[in-house]
Amino acid sequence: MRRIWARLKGELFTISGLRIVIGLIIVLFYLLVAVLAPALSPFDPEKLGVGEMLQTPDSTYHFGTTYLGYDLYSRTIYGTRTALEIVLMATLIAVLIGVPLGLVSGYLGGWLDRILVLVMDSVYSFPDLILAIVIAAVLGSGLLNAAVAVSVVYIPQYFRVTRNHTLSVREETFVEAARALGASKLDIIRRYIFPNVSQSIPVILTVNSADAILTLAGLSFLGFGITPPKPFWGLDISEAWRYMTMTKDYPQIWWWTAIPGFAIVILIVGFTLLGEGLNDILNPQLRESQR
Amino acid sequence: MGRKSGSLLNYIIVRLLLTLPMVFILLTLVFVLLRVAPGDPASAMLGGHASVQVIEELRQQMGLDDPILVQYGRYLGEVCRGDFGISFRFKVPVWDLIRNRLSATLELVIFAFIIAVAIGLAVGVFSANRRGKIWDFLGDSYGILSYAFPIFWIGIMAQLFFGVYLGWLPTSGRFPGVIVPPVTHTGLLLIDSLLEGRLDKFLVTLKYLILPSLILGIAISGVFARMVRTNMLQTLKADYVVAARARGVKERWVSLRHGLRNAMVPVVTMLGLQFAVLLGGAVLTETTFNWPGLASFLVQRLLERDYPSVQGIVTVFALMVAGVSILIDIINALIDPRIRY
Amino acid sequence: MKLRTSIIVLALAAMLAAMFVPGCKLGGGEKVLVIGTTDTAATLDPADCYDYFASNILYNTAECLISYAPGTADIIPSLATGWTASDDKMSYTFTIRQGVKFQDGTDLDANAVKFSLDRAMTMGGNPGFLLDPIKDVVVTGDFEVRIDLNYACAPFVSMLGYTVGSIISPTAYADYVEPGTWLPNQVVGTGPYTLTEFVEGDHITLVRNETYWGTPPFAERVVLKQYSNSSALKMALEKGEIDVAYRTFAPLEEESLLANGKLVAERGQSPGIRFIVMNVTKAPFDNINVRKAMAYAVDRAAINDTVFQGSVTPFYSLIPDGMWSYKPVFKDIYGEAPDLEQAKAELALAGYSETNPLPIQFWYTPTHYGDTEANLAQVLKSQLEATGVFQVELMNSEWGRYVDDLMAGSMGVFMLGWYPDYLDPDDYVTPFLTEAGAISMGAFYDDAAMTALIQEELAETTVADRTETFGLIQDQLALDVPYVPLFQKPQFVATRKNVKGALLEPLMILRYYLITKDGWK
Repeated sequence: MRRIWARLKGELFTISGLRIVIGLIIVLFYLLVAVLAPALSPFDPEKLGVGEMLQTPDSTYHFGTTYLGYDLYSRTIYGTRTALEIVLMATLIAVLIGVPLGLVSGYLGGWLDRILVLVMDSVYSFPDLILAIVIAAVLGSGLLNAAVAVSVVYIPQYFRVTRNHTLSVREETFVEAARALGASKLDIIRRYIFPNVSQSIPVILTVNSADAILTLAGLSFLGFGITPPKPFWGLDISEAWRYMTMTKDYPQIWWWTAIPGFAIVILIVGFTLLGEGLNDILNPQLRESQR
Repeated sequence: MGRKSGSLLNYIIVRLLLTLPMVFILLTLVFVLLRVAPGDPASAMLGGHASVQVIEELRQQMGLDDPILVQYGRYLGEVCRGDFGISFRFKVPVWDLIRNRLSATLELVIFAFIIAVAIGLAVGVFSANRRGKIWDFLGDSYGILSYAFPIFWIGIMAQLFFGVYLGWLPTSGRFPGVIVPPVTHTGLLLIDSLLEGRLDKFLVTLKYLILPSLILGIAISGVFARMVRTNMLQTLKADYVVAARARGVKERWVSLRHGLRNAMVPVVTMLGLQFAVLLGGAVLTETTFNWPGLASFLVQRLLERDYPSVQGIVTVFALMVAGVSILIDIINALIDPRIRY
Repeated sequence: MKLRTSIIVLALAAMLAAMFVPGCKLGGGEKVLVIGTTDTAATLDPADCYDYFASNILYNTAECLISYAPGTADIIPSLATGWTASDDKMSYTFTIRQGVKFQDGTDLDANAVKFSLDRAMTMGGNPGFLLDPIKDVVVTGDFEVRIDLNYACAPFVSMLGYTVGSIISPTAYADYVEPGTWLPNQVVGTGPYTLTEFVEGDHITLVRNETYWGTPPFAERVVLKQYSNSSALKMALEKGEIDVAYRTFAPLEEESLLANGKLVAERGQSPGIRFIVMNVTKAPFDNINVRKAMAYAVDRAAINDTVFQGSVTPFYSLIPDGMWSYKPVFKDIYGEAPDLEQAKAELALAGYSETNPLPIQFWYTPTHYGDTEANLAQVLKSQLEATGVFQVELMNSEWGRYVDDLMAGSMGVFMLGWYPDYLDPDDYVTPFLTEAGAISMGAFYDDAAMTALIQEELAETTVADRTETFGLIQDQLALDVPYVPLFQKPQFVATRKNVKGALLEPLMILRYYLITKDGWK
């Protein structure tokens, strides 16, 4: 970690550094909003009829209200919670499965490795969203199910990168030495390989989170995973969409459509900038090979 | 690197063999997923009032009581023959349902692809030529933003703006009801209408096709743009390019001819990878624009738990992805004769 | 560079040209009618067809022994020219119309009638139970059929008017008589339109039947275009891409269409009802107090206001308001406005309170009844939670799976709707409160006293007698509460100004063959 910090400090004022800073600010902002959600929202986001139907934004209802009188401002704020909760869960699951598998597969090699690589590559090359909706449909609605659906798509990523890194670290002399000294495979993986490999995880973490939010938004828009009245941006957009033809009479429907969308975009941009900035600094050679 | 320059045919065969496992794995994944899900296929097929006896008979017929491995084997066999079973909801062979919609998705995806490449090339080349200036930064931002904006969201905004407010374009569907669609030759309405010699049908098809394919194309184009730009930047620095410039070759030609062609190989590879993203994006685009394609159909079938249909559609998608991947490799092999087995 | 620029310019020009191409002037002289809807049709096989849209298509392409005079509930002869009943009403003899051909050229005769009805009874399809009263169909002459019944059934002739009684061509369906062998995307009947194209979920094409025995329809070709949401449907109508839009708009959209001077829109009474179903065999709904609490807690007026902008009619029984024998039993017993105190009291009797809350899963289906369903579910959730005791988790699934689940009994409480198959109070009672009917509704209700009452009303012959029995049935309904009636949703149709003849009917049949446009002969 100290190495990373040193590199960062050196490059802070380059474009990459700027990216990291902006990205970090955005992500931290969202985190803050998510944590402070109850304090920041004037209304209960799941409470019907706190306001009149389809009100224009004003001082009480900063973003206006929806058809059933939900306060859009509160819903958008709480949406950060839902988003970050699920992304956290999904990433955790993907890391917990992908990284150990990558380590084992990379270190042990052989048949296990070949089969795992084949399976992981197949999943990796298949469209994300399609896989996610099939899984979400089978599992049913619910936060955890949505997280699982999203995570499965990202397991191959963690697997790949971990495995690649493991492959290169495996040949280093200090690992050979440990082997010669009779250390068990598990020990070697745990104490020598993992720490070296782990530095590539943060980058994937951030880029994957961006992707995860996008996938999640798509899932909820299509009607999988998150059900009303849970506040989440994708869901709000799909509801607003139904009132699309009424915009001439109710122009506030634009707000209902636009704001959750911006919430999504800014968060994704934040994660992406963060990820790319980190990537530039930490792995300049790997830049081209990333998707 | 120790590669002998073998024949193109060898290469194709090897690539084919290597992609088959991917398709099988996906088939298996889908099979497992759908067996895990609750719900009895036989009673779903028969409808609500069938007696237990009739349901049991149908279960026997469909082989649902056989051991899982036997069912798996049979499933694979059927898939190889192109038999995807009978849809629960519509009670017709799944393949019939897929066939009708496949061409709709293909038309959308192909058109979107063309648009994406066009935009990607334009933005990429443009910003590569103006390194360090404001255009460069904008080009880079385009990459991030076109990725970050959810497809369905820009789709809806476009519908609102062009459809509801301006009223120029339709917001949904592929073809209006009033006109008879062109006679089916390829299933691609643009081509079919030209084959029929009806310019009016061609233009109507275009009218419905523009918005969805534009949105999908924009969503995919960001990655191309960045890829093209990066590759062009690298090639532009190469020696022979510098030499060409020194010879006084016009700047534009330098970038186009020399830079572009050599930037193509990784870009072509990237296109192959992006196809999967394109299919995923098609799910959202087709749903937003009510496009009667296979991707939106998948969503409907999933929501209704029509598992045979889902199995069939996922298989078709897997085959498409695999097919494109092979095609890309072949194209690459054609461009760069060093890539062979 | 020049080449590239010119390509771009050409492409842009093509796109601009395309944008301004009008959609409607093409088609050159053919009389085409385009009808838009958000409904989907699952199967067109009359023996299995039980959803509204597919039934409607069948009404226009196949025919039954009897029909209804347009715009009314009066039974008129159709493929049967007349009928008589035996004295004990256990047997009906129908005279079959002569000179009628099916759309595949086969002649209509008594055998075809027997074939169709037998098939519907033995295939085990969804609406098959409607023909339960029939014991036997006997061919007594080339053009005469006698139907013997298992039990006296007052509305029997009316039942034969539902699409399950469609008379279909024995030639076309010869290979489709074993259970499970359906013909879902074709229909060969005797009706004014012939089905030529059925692209599931996108559109259906009907073409005028030139050998039709009755009055020929106006439109030569009818295209039924399906849209996946109501905003697309509304836009299509406004832009003139469709001529008629029927089912299902959101309330705000209906208001907008009613106010649109360029269109003709109409809202009319409808026999369609919406209600909550509780599976009385599944905890906690096996407890009568919980069910009563639900009846006390619903606020129909609030639903009407919040979700439907005042466009629906709350009602208080299963038989719709406006039909004879309607008795507002739920209003009498549970009150017009919600009574939260009573609801809490009932829940307390069941052992639930604010310190011991009752978590339930409340199901709904998001698109089948229109896009307002999710809103309705959320409003009901907040009403139930207002008791402080119910804790509601909203669950949803699409129609196909929803129906599976309700028949399997896995949903404890859920919302459903009903459109009549035939116009008789019995159609709101038998399918709900008999054992077989309640199974197909997912309520699993079975009560001997109720069953006896239903048999009584079927056997009685005067309206006065039957009204009295229906009264008793409704009384018991309110005491047993397997269902909580919510409201009746009016019908709504919107057309372009040059369209005439799109009537709103008591049975909700949209007769394509009566629709015409100005300027058509």
